[in-house]
Amino acid sequence: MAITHDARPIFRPRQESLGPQTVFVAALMLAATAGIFGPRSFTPDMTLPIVATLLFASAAAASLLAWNHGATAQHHLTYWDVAGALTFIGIAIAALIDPEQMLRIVTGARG
Amino acid sequence: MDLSQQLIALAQIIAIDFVLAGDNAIVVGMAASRVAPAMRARVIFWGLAGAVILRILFAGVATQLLTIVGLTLAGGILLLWVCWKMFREITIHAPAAALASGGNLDAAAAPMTFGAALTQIIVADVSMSLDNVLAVAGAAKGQMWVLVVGLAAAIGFMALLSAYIARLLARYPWITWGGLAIVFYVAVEMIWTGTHQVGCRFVDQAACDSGPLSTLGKLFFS
Repeated sequence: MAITHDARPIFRPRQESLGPQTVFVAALMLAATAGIFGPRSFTPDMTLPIVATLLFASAAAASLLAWNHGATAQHHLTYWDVAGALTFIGIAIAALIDPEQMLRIVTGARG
Repeated sequence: MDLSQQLIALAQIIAIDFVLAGDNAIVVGMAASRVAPAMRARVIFWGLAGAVILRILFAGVATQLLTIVGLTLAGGILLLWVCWKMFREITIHAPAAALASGGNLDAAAAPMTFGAALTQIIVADVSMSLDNVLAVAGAAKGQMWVLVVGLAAAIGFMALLSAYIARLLARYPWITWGGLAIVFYVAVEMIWTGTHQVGCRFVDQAACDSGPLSTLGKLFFS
């Protein structure tokens, strides 16, 4: 009886990381919280800029995680995708901000 | 203006552009996602270099720009033309390229040339940067170095945003429709505001102060 040793490493399907999804949902919840409570805590003028800034900051954090994780499978959601999506949503919100509104906020002038 | 005031003005300019430069980043990202991957960084670099030069030029003549009636309206119409070009690019050129490549969407993902992408970015930037530049020029209070450094910092930030967007759109092309919707919204908003500004030249102050609807109502129906 021939005894054979199969030396090939055993490939088990790796459990997919839920990290990108978690970061995406957490960032959206953070931005939504700022959007809901912003008008009560700050002036209404500041709500949208704060939400957009939070989304951009979350995108930056996601991109740092992406750098840290390196390349991932093409078919899975990656931290780069999350960074892009958060940037995209941030820009959509920033498009609603009037330039004069930003000027009022940063210079402290009253409109 | 002493140094501390100049630094405050610089921080204000960076804060304004940090929030307002996003819509330009969408156009740059959309154009970059439609060229060959090897060309992407070049498109982003030259598109943003053009943006810096245009913004500095506009900011230099901001006072004169403020006196031109209908500038926002013209910018909005120009941006609408960019939207139309993008729409054609998405609906006609990309599917045609996919058909030519035997239905291989990956091979068809780069239908745009470097020149076409750069033209689209520059034309969009001419219209989109107008209102941002006026706000930024107001914050700079005539300090040219503050303006240049602030704009350069903001453009660096825009480069980052564009790179994220280009990467996202290259992987999920359907999101391009969302980008187009944002640019279209900005164009319509500029046309709306611009029409109000032009309308105010022909109606009384009270109607003008009541808002765009009242101005246009008075202009066309009385």
